[in-house]
Amino acid sequence: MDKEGIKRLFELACVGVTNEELARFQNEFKAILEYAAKLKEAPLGDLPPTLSMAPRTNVSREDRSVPVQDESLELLISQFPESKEKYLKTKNVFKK
Amino acid sequence: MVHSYIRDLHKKLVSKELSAIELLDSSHSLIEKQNSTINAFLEVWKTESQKEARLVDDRIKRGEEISMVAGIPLAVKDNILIEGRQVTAASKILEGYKASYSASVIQKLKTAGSVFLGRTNFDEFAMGGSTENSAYGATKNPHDVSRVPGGTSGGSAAAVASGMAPFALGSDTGGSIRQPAAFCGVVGFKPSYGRVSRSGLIAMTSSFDQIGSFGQSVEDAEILFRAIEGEDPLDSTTIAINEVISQKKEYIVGVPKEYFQEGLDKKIEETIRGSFKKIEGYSANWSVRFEEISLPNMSYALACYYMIMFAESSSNLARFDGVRYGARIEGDNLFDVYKNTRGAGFGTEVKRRIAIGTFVLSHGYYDAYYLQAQRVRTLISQDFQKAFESVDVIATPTTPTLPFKLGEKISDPLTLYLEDIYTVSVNLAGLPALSLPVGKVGGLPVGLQLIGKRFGDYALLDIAKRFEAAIA
Repeated sequence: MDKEGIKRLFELACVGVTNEELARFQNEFKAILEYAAKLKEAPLGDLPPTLSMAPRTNVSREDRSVPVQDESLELLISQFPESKEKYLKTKNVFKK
Repeated sequence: MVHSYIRDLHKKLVSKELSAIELLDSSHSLIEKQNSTINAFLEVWKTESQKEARLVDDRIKRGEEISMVAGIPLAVKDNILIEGRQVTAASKILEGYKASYSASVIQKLKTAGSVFLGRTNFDEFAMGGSTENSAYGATKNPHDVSRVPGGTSGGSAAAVASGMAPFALGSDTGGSIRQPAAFCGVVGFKPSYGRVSRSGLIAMTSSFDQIGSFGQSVEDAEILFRAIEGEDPLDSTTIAINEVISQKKEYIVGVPKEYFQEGLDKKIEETIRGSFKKIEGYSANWSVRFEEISLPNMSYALACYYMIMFAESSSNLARFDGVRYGARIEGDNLFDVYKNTRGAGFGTEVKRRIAIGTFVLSHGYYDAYYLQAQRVRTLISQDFQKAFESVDVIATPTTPTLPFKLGEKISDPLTLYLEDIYTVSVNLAGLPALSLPVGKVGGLPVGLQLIGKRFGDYALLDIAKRFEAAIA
């Protein structure tokens, strides 16, 4: 995995990364992925994957709005990094 | 029967020999004396806990019955949400963030009359094995402050080991309760996956995470587990379990040979095998037989765990984007806001794991790494199922090394990952497990890991109490 490849991963994940971090990660990722390669040797036969130990059942609820307490709403709004009245303010999502 | 600190405190509260406020005051004064050195607590909720304690004292005065956990100061890992209180996941990206709802376990504990002492330090977003990855400084091991308390729940383990908190909540994804319990010489219990609700626990690896308990004895850890376990409609991975345990005349303990190979500290092995002798020689109306077993695919467990963990946690951390909550660093456009916020807000280990997780899930590599790991997971689960056909419990060392020095393993991530080698397989198979302190080497604690059958949590705790009595 080269520096450009790792840089691309950080772009995909939307995480800023410095040049020092990139240089460091190059060696580390190589070692980690080499260790992970031993999984290829596992005697799997035709075993299926286990995505979770929990039963695979879908959960649904009634499609109705549940009123939120004023205090909870105020708490949520107070956590917005930027707000206008009771709206969350963010950068334009349509502009490139 | 080993002394249960929590049961003792409960008796004293009910008999009014001690009040909840007095109990809280003693925790507060120990915290004042020790926390600046140990850094177990990131925040202590002094005023709120005093209100909670007074409410319990009032109930006792009125002659009302109180639960086993009522009025007893409880430390909470800083990844469990309490409405209106700060929760940071030990990260800069959530600095100052206040939870807008309480975790289901917290709701249960509130109803039970718990007194919440404060939030404890851990490795940022539960990524680490030593509590050195916290954005708020490392926690020190109370047995030797030049050493790590383990991780990720190092703060909770250290809080209990130092006496600052009678018991504590932690979370375990690959050993994050058991390993710090071993390093700090306390009991740490991770329930079966699906036994305790994860609603309100900041998600790390959703198919492994479980909230669990720390205590000074097995019964203390059990009392806390009993207060938090149960099916929750807010967490569809929880299951209602009606566990009935039977008293046996003989318990068969499986000792997997793969856990006693190269890489295990010889002194730890000596201590562990010494504890087996004590358990075997203990006089009681039950006996024990130790049998060597094989978990033949254990050598794949660590790689399997890490591939799944990188993938799931990189997905889970996508929500921290500077938009709705937490830190926000501005940029020219939305992408820059994400990049700048996440670049500045996440520590190095978090970035490392997000990047590898992104790789593992990407087109062209998904099958070779992620899907392959999930298939190896099936293989390892089957190894445990086969073993449990003939044994009641599996016993292994919790850690391959003694608590290491601060800074010793932080520069090479793979070396730190190898510390988890004995604990991760348990999370892959969703089994219950705990670490029991069984002795010391040069003053440093050694933990024995006991692994139970899936959903055999109380059965495991029962066996652990017997072994604890034998070793005492």
